Amino acid sequence: MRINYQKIMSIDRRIIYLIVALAIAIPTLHPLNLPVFITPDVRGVFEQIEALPPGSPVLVTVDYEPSTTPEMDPMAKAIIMHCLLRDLKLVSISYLIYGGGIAEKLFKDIQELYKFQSGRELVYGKDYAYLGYKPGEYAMIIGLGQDLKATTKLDHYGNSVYELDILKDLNKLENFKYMVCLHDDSYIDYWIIYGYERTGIRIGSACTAVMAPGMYPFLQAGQITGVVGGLKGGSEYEKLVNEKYNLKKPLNQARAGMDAQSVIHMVIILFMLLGNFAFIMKSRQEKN
Amino acid sequence: MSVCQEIVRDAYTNAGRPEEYDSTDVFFIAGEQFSYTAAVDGLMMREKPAANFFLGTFAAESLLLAEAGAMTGAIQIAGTDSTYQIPFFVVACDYCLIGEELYAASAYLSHEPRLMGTLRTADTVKIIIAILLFLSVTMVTINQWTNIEILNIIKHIFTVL
Amino acid sequence: MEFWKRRVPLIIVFCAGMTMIITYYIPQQWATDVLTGYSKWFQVIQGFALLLGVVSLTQVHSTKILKQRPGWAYSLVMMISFLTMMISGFVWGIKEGKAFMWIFNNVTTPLASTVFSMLAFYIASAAYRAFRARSLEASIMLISAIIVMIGRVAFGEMLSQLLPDSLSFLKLDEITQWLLRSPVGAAKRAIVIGMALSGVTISLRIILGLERTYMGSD
Repeated sequence: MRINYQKIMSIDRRIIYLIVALAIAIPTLHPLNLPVFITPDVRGVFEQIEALPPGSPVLVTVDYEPSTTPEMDPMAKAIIMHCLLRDLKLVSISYLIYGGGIAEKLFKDIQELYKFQSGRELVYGKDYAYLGYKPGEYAMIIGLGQDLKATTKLDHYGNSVYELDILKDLNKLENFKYMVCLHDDSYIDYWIIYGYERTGIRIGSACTAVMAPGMYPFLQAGQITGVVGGLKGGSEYEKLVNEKYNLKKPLNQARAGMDAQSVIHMVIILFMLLGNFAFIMKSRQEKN
Repeated sequence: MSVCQEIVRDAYTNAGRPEEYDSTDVFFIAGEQFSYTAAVDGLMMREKPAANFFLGTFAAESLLLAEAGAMTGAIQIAGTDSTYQIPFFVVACDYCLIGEELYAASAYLSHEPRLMGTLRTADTVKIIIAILLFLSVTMVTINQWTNIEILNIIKHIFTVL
Repeated sequence: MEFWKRRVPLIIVFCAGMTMIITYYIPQQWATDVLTGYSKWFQVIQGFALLLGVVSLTQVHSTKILKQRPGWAYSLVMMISFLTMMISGFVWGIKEGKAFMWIFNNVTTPLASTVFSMLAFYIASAAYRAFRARSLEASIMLISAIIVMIGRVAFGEMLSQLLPDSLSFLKLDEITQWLLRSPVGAAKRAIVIGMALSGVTISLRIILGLERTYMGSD
C-alpha cells in the first residue's frame, strides 16, 4: 500500500489546531499533578529575597502588558507574597503605562491572600506602597537614582510620597536592598543600565518564557541574580514559597498551567517528528 | 505615521511613479499590540498581498503576523532588531534579516557611498571589539594560571572602565 | 522657506541629539532634570502624533463606512468601540470603578490575552510546517528545539531523574540549561553588539543631518 506522504506533510491546519486545543483543555480539566523541579535560576531570586532581614526595603516594578497577565500574574503574586510574608517593606512602581491597572488588581488579590494567610490586613503606606506609572522611561530611572521623592512626587492614589511612612528612609534607588523587575519585554535592560550599573542595586528578573533565554547573558555577567521565566519559573517560585511558609491556601496558579504546557510541548514534538518522518519517507519514495 | 507616508511617497517618486502614490495606503491602525495584530491579520486575509515585508521592532505579534501571512501563501521577508523574535521569523518566513543585516540591507541594495561608509564603520568597530574581547579573554585565562602582575593591572583598568 | 523646511528641523535634531548624549555622561541633578524634561516633551509629542494617527484612522474607516466598501461592518464596529472608550474616558474618568476601567479589565484585557494565546496554535502549525531536516543547520535546529522543549517541562526532568550520576551529562534539563546559556547566550551577545553598533552609527547620521529621509524630499 503506497502511503501519500505529501498529504501527511500538508495536513489541514484546523486538524492541528483541534489537537492543540484538546491537548490544552484535557490536562486543564483533569490535572495530572506533574512534579515541579526547582532550577538554580529561580533560586537566585528566591534566596536573595529570603536572605534579606525583615524590614528591608524592596522595589518591585510592574512592567507587563494586559495580554501577558495569564503568564505573569502567578509569578507576580508569588514574589509579592514572598516579600510581604518576609515582612519586607515593599515599594512598587511602573515604567509602563499599563502598569497602573494591572498593579491595582494585583494588590487587591494580594490583600485577600495575605489576610487569609496571616489574619491581618495589609496597611497601605506602612506595609507596601504603589507609586504608580511614572513617565520618562530611562530618565525616570536616572531620577530615581538621584532623588526618588523628587522624581515620583505622588503615588498612584494621589498621596504625597513625602508623607508615606514606608518611604521615610528611602531617598535613592540604592537605598533598596533588592529589586525585582516583572517585565514582558526588554524594559529590564534600562533598569540594568541606569539602575544596576549606576547605583549597584541588585536585580532579579521575572519575565515571560520568550524573554527568559535573553536574560542569561545578564545572569552570567552578574548583572541580575536570577531569572523567574514564564509559567515554569512561576510554578517553581510558588513551590518554594508554599514549602517555606506553609501557606494555608497554597499558591497554585502557575503549577496548574504547567500540566497543560507539559502536554502541549510533547504534542508539538510529535508533530515535528511526524512531519520529518513524512518528509524523509517522501524523499525516499521520490528517489526510488 | 507622517514619516512613513513621506518615505513611501519618496519611494514612489524615485521609482518614477509619483501619481500612483495614495496617502490612504499608509494609515495608522492601533497603538496596542494585539489590536494591531488582529487588524493586520484581517487585512492580509482579505487583501491577500503577494509579498509581506516585516521590518522593524516586533514583540509577541511576530509569529501571529508571519503565520497569518503564510496562510495566504504570500512570500515573506522579515527583519527585526528584537532578538527574541528572530527565531519566530526564521521559522515562519521565507527569508529573514538577522540583527544588523536589517541596517545593512539598504546599503547592500543601493550601494550608496554614505550608507556603505556607515556599514564599513560599524564593521571596523566590530573587529576592534572582537580583538579586544579575544585579548581580554586570553589575558584573564593566562592570569588564572600564572598570576602575572601586569595582567592583574590591566584587568583592574578594564574593571574600573 | 528652504530655511524653515530644511535647516530648522536639522538644527533641532542636532541640538536635541547632542544634548541627550552629553547629559547622559554628566552625573548631576541638572543633567537628569534636562533628560527628564526631554522625555516628558517626547511623550507630549508622542501624544500629538497619536492624534494624527487617530485622525487618519477615523478618515479611513468613516470613508469605508460611508461608501459601504467590502468589510465596512468591521469598520463600523471599530468606530463604535473607539468612540465608546473615548467618551467613557473623557466623561467619567479612568479611575478604578469607572466604565473605562471596567471595559479595560473585562473586554480589552481578555481580548488581548485571547489573541496572545493564539500563539500556541500558530506555534504548533509553524513547527509542523517549518521544522524539516532539509540541511545540517535545519537538523541542528530541530534537535535543539526537541531537547529544549522536553527539558523545560516536567517530563524532561522526570526522565533525567532516571539517569545515574555518572551519566548526568545526558540529563535533558542540564543539556537545556547549557544550550540556553552557552550557544544561545553567545549568539544573542553577538547580535546585540552588532545591532547596538549599527544603531549608534545610524543615530549619529540622523543627528549630524546625513540621514534626512524622515523629512521627505523637496
